Order: sequence, then C-alpha cells, then structure tokens
Amino acid sequence: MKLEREMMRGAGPTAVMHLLADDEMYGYELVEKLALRSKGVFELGQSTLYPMLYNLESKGLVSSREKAGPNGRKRRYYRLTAKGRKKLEKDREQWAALVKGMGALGLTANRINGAFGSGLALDGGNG
Amino acid sequence: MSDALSGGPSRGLNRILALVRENSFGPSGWQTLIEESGLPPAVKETIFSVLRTARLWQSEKLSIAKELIAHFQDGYDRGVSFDQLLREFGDPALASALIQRSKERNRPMISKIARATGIFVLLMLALGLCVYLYFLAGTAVPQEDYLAEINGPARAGQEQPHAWPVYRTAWIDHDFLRADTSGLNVQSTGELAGPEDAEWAAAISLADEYAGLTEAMREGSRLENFGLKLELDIADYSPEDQAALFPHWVPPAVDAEPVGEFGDDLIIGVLLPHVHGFQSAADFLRFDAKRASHDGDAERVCDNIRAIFGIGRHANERPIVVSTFVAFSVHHKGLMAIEDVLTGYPDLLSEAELEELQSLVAGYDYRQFIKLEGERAMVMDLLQHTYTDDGNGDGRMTNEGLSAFFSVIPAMTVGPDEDVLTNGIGGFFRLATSSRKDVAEAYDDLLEVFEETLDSPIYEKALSDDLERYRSVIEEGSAEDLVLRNLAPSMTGIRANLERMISRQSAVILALSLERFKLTNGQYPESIDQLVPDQLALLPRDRCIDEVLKLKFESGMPVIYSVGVDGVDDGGVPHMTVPNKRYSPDIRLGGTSDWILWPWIEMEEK
Repeated sequence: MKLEREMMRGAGPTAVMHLLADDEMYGYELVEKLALRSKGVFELGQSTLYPMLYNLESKGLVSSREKAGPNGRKRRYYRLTAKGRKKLEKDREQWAALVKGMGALGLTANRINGAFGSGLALDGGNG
Repeated sequence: MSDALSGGPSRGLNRILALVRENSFGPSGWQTLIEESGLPPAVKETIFSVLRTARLWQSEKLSIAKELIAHFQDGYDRGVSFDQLLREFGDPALASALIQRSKERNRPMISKIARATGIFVLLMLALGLCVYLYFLAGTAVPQEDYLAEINGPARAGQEQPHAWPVYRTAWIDHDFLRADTSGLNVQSTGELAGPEDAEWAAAISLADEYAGLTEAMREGSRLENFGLKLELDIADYSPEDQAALFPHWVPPAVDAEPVGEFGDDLIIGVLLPHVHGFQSAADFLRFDAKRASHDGDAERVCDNIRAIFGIGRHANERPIVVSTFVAFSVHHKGLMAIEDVLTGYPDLLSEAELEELQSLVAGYDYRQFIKLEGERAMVMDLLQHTYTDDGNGDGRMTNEGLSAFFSVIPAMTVGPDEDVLTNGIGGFFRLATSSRKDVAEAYDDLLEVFEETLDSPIYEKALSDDLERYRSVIEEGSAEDLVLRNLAPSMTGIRANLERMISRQSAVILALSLERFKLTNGQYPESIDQLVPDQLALLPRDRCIDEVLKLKFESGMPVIYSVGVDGVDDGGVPHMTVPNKRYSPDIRLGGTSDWILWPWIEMEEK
C-alpha cells in the first residue's frame, strides 16, 4: 500500500534516517531497503528520494561522501550525523505517541503494529 | 551537513574557492558524463531533463548527474529493467524543482548572501534604469516668450523717440563702458572731489574728456522711455548695440559648444549690460552739478539733477529687481547732488528751483519701482525649459532639467551648514519628483508674500517678521523649497533698499523745504510744523516709528534723522564703530543707533 503524498512527507524522512542509523547507504540501496523492509509502504521514486536526501543534508541530519563501491563504481554514500540521531530519537518518540494515540482512538493498534512489526519497528517495542 | 560546513572556517573557505573555480572556468562536463554513461537514450534524456532546467551550479549538476547515473546502473545491476527504473523514477520536472530547492538550501551562507545581494543590486539597477528612462522620455518644450515680457516696456510707446539711440552714440564715441569714474573722487575717502580737494583739477580734466557724453545723457534723460531691447545672445544685438554695450566682445567659434545645459536660452542668464553705464553717467552728472555749483550756474545744476533722475527712471524700465537696485543707486546719486549744492552752496538756488527739485524728488513712488514680474518670468522660463508640459500647466522634471538646476544654481545641492545626505541627495530626489505646477504655485505664493510685506513700513512689520513669514512659506513646501530657496529674490535685501530709499527721499524733501523756508523767512524754522502748509503738504514720517522724522540743528545746519529700527531716539547720534568714521547702521543688521538721513552718512559696512 503506497502512502499518500502528505503522509510520505511526514514519514519519509524519518524512515530514511532510521535506515541510515545503522549503516551508510547509497541511493539505490536505500530505495531497495525502504521498499523491502516497509513491505512496499515506502516505495520512493528517485524523484522523491534524492531531493529528500539533499534536504536532510542541508539540515545537517545526514552527511554524504563519494566512494567506490565493491564493483569499483563510484557512488555517493549517506550516513546519519549526530544531529540526525538526536532528531531520529525525537521522531521515534513522536511516532510511538502517535501509534498509541491512534490505538486509543480505536484505529486498530494490532494491525498497525503488525504492519511495522517485522521491519521498521519505530516504536522500538513489540513488532 | 555538507563537507564545506563541517570542518571550520579554513576548510569552508577552501571549499568555497573550489566551488568558484569549478563553476567559473570551463564546462563542468555533466553533459559529457551523461552522454558517455552507456545508459539507454531514454534514461539519459530523463537525467538530462532533470538537470537541464534546474538552476544549479555546474558542480552541483555534475554531482547529481553522477548520482543519478549510478542509481540507474545499480538498479540495472540488480536485475531491474531500465523501463521499470524509469517508471519508478517519477516526474522529471518535479524532481528538477525539488532537487534545485533542496540543493539551494544546502549552499554555504556566503553564497546565499551573494545571491541575495546580486538580486538586490539587479533590482536597484532596474529601478535606476526605469527612473532614468522616465526622465529621458520627458522633453521640455518651451513655448512662452518670457523675454518679450521683460522687454515689454522697451517696446511701449514705440512711436515716441527713445533715449537709447542717443546714449548709444555717445557710449560708442567715448568707449564709455571702460570709463573709470574713480578719477572724480578724493582718493583717501572715495567721496566726490570738491574745489577744496587736491584731486579737483584732475577731476575736472576727466569730466571734460566726457563732456560730450554727459551732454548726451542729459539730452536722452529728457525722453520718456529708454527703449533698449535685451537679448539672450550677444550675437542677437544689432551691430550698433554690440559696439556700445559689448565693445570688446569676440564672437565664439561657429562650432563652439554652448555653455551649460541650455546655452543662452534661459532668461535667468540675461545680461543687463547698460546698468554700469548708468552708474558712471550719474557720477559724471553729479560731478558736473558740483562744478556748476562752483561756477554759480544754477540752471546747469538743476539740469544735471533732473538728468540723473531721468537716467534712474530709465534704469528701472525692466521689471527686474537688479534694475531697481541700479535705479535706486542712481537716484541716490541725484539726492547726493542735491545735498552737494544745498550744503556747499546754500544760497545758489532760487525758491522756484528749490520747489522744482522738491517736486521732482517727491514725484517718485519708490514702492512702485519694485516690480517682481521679471523675477517671476525668469523662474517660469526656467520651469518651461526643465519640466515637461502636460498642456494644463503641469509636468515633471526632465533629465536636462536636473542637470540644469545643478549647474545653473550651484547652491542647489546643499548649503554650507547643511547635511549632504539629507539635503543634497534628499534635495535631488525632491526636485526630481517635483511637479511643475506645484513649484510655480509655490513661487507665486512667495511673491504674493513679498508684495504684501513691501507695502508696510518697518514700524508695522519688522524685517524679522518678513524673514519668518518668508521662511514659513518656503518650508511649507517640500519638493519646491529648493527652487524657492535658491531662486527667490532676497526679501531682506529688497526691503532694506526700499526703506533706505524712501527714508532718504523723505529727508531730502524735508531738507529742501527747510531751505525754502529759510529763503522766505531768513532763517530755519524753530519747529518742523512751521513748514506746513507753505513748504510741505505733509510732514514726512519716520519709517521705523509712526512719528515725524526728527530734526535738530548742529552748527546752525539741519540734521534730519530716523530713530532707527530699535525705535529709540538717541538724539541723532550716528553709529561709531571706527574712530573718526561715522556710519549709519545698516537696517538689515538691526542696529541700535539712529539713522542719519541728512546730511547723508554712509551705511555701516558689513
């Protein structure tokens, strides 16, 4: 299920930062893993991903560098900065609160948890 | 955060310099990179379309091109077809806009400042260009012949013979404009030589040189009108007029550039070449009157005095304040000529001659001498040369107009005590945005104030009041005040000259009546009231207080005085600033002494 644009605008950067928290990645790698681990929810086109990455970079949340990959091809790799980690932590708390609130409202909390449980466990809890 | 900002100032500076180099010199190669990427044409075209329209630095485009090329290559390596990758790419136009926006955010602060500054400079240049074109597009089209207005009186009564041809012949014959009348004076005092002075013989010799001219001036002065037509360009005068007025003028070269923005087109620059001749002629006539007094020739004395007043009347033919000042000066020489004979040769003139001179002096209304039409014509002429004309008397400043104002009137930019920024630049802006109609109306308002104040004696309206009212009229205007401040006549100067002339006239009339009384009764009157009605219809008033002029006697001779602007009667004591040199106070200075009007004591030098 693809997210609508407005939802993507809010969730997309957090999802990207979450992936970059563990390791640096290059553009296509990010696209792949986002789609895979979100079970298709975060299917970003390149026209969306790269602007998002540049925005995060302009805010100092990620940094980038060019280096050669295993196949010798030069790519630009992105990683989370210290500032980005702090922001990500805040976003996690926000999302946890959001999920909890939605659950309290009666939006099926189990279904939401199930959708995220095996991938992007943003609540850090029971996936 | 980009590498540029993470490593401190020197690393940031190096990065900036690298950016400048990358984006300044030679092609970036991003197009070549895409061409040589080996990707299918459709993919290349997608990447091209993203980067082609994005307003990015060359180095940024190169970096993005590498990234996008790598992205498609990585996808293909993972088994995704290029068609699929293209479908997943999204809208290239949207991508271009988003990438551009985000890259701009990522630029160093200094580049953002430089960009903002560049935009600001461009806007200012555009604004300046618009303003320049605004002025450039406006053209002044002068239509009124204001010089004809000023020359109007010269053409009045054209059927009657005029004095100018008579004067002209004499001036040409004597090269009169080069005449130096200082030879008529006592060297040490500058006063007219008398028989008792060492310079008397030399003065006579000089006067004899110009005897023919003096006779011509007497002859011409009897005619009603002067009749000289003023021209803006010396070349427009007739050869005879040029010979008399500009005997040493050399015509400029044919291709000579005109002086100033408008050359000789503005009447504000009109010359009054004849006025010096009038002053010199009055000096010769006054000397001849003194000589005639010494010779016992009363008829010639009166003839010369009448001639001086006639020349003064001719000098005032133009409605220009400068002409009036010259007329006052010439008439004052006439009054001095009367004083010369009454004080030096008191028994020379008969009752009839004294009465005739009294009527002559009393016959001039000096208030009416002052005519401001010429000043107005000059300003309106300047406006019609410097503003456009919308057909309703209004218009805006032209490019030539701005240049003219700041060249014709050097003081227009800023005065000595004024701030350049607020008055110079601000003044320029106010003038540039001024309306022709507003300036003209403001000037007319000012002249109206002038006329009203000139009608009142000092005791009704002090000179200081004039100044305040004058200033308030000027300062009420905003865009107009520069014009008014620099082009308006000097109110204080005109008023002071007028008051001096009227007061001196009154004193001479009184002095003549005293002599007539003495001639009839064998002695001066004990009281001034005794002069009415036989010698005087009305007693002359003191312009400084609403009372009769003061009269006292020193060594048996009358002294007539005004109490002065302070209104305090000091007993006819003159101002003493220099030992052995007596002065009357200059009323413009607001002195505290009495103003001695008979015998005349020179005004204090400022």
